[in-house]
Amino acid sequence: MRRWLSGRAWRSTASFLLIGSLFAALPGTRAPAASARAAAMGDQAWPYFGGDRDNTRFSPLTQVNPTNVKKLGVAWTASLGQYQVLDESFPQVVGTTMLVTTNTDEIIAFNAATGKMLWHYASPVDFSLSTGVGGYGVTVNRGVAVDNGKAFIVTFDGRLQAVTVDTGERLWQTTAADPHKGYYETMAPTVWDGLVFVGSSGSQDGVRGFVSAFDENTGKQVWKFYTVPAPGHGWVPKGRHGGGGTYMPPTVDPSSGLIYVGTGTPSPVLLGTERQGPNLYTDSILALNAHTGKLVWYYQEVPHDVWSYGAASPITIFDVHKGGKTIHAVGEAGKDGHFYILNAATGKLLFPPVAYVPVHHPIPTTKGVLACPGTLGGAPYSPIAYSPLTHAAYISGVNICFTLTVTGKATGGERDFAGTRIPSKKKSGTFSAVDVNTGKFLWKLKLPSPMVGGAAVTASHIVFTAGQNGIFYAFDDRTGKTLWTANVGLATGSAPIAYAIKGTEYIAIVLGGSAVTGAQNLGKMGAAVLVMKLGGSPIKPLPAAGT
Amino acid sequence: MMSRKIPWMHGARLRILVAAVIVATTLISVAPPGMIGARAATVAPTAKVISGWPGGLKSYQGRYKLVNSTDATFAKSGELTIFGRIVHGLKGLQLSGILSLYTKSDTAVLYVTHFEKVGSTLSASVNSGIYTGPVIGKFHLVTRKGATMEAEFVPTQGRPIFLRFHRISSNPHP
Repeated sequence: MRRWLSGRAWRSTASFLLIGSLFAALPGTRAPAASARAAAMGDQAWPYFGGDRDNTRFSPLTQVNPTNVKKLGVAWTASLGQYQVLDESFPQVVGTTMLVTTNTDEIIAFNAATGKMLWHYASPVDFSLSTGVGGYGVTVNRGVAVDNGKAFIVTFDGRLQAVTVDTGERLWQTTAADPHKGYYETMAPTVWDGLVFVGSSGSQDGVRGFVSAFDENTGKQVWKFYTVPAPGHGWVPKGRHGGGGTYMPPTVDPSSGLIYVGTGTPSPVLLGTERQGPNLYTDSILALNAHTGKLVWYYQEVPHDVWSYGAASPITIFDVHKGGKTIHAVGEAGKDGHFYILNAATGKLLFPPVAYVPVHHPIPTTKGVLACPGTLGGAPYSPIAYSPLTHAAYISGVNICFTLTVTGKATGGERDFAGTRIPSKKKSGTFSAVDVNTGKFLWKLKLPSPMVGGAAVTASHIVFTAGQNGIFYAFDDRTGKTLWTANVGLATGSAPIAYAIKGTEYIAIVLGGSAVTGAQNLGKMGAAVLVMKLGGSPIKPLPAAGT
Repeated sequence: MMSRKIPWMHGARLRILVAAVIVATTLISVAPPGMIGARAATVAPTAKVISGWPGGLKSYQGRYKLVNSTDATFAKSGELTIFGRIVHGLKGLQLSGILSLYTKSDTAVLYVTHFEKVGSTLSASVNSGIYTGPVIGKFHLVTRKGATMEAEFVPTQGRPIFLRFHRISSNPHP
């Protein structure tokens, strides 16, 4: 028999093959296989506010993993404007286009791979027409909704507009809320089945909260659901009172045809004696028929709220496995500092709510009380992220207590606050994982800086988030272990996203800080987009505005 | 007709004088009315500082439409709303402003705070992002006649920009 491999050659070859296969088995080191995988990965968009319709903020991408996450670097950055400082925009990627909004209601389209600006839409907006806090406070816009080649934005002065994704050409606009009545808008809309859903801000200004639906092709209003009675009716006192505003995009469940929305605080805010009873449907998670606006069920997180809490964060849909059954569920991180998990069909609580920040809130008095969390809430509006792999909800927490004093008067422009609020000097944050199958914590982190904006979680078991101190985090979603941090220099008012183009995974975040950042001086501000990829250029702190 | 040379006005001197007249005429014709001769605000470092503007809220609150700007890249149009704002730690309503500026391609919203009289100059701070955001410049009142208000925005970096407003309402929220 011809021996084509001698003993030594055979041993060398076998050794080489063995070592090579071991090398190939190590994650992050399989160069040839990684290229093939990357090629197969192709493109992965982030086409909705929360990544998917369920608002999970989960990405199936795995190119960035716990072993190589340290190699993340800058792919591109972009300033959002010379005078843009704060930004609460949650970016979306549709195809290869990233859509970002500014706090002044502009839409900027970037090539998501290169950062080249494709178009910039800016319509004149009346920023001081509202008599609400927006007229005296800070303008905010949290993003667009995209469907059928159209992007929808609702501007501060209450105009819902549709523009083309390709060019930014406006198709139509309509009035969603009347600023003369104190309404102002901050939310990103939601779109589904030909309908665009928007709500309204202004709970603390005594406006009457609502959710409405508009035809996505014409802008014609299809239905409107008021979250509270009209002034002088039910529990709402006469005069400019009400509340129950909605600040974040409703979540649609196509399987049931329901939309879920969280409502804000009642007003007058601190003066609970003026409004008896639980004050429905403030501080509630509502399930509405998406086609008719009819209320299907409600769950009130905080009856008769006198702390300016509310269910401000978006609702997330997931399945709970409990008692051998699979239960379709919804979850929300309430401003009162608790995480709620409810039966999506009935609104029944599935587990006792857990506190993700310290909670202690006595009823405010004329002498003042210390309430924790304070009026910013445990989650001012920050969405949770949910992983179907760990069955965990990842919650960003703000730990700032406030001294609340009832005066019966307006404060700082919020016309119906009826008191004063002074933040404590101590400010910190939490980041927690709750197992939705048990309602208990998987792990909980105390962080030096309040966590505002939310998180994104990927299939490679990394949960990304950022603090007000300009630190970008990557945690192991199973254990909470810190895998990597980067000093990006600026606070954020938004959550990261993950997407892929031509086999390259990108992790992106809009920086600049939220209105909370500015009002409480929590971090450095300066609106910009930061996009990272493996092997990108070194990350350096982005310059703050005014420097 | 006999021509007569003016000895000191011929040659180079005449050309210089003619050129100066042409330049001055051009400046007058292109500059917004009232801007020429408007004194750019200068404040002596030791000038006395008094909080607020004389006349207070009643005198200044309202909505003003921007009708002219010497820098279209800063603002082609816009609005200034002056109103009274509750500020924690201070008594009474504080003069404040929201300055919305539109160019051909973008929008800026700036916040005007700390209205004060420094020497003989009425000025305010201009902040970006929020009332307590980074100060990006100063706003000086130059002239005020009837419904017309002329001001100078002096950025922390760059040249001053003259702005001319027309008051369209004495109510900040008509």
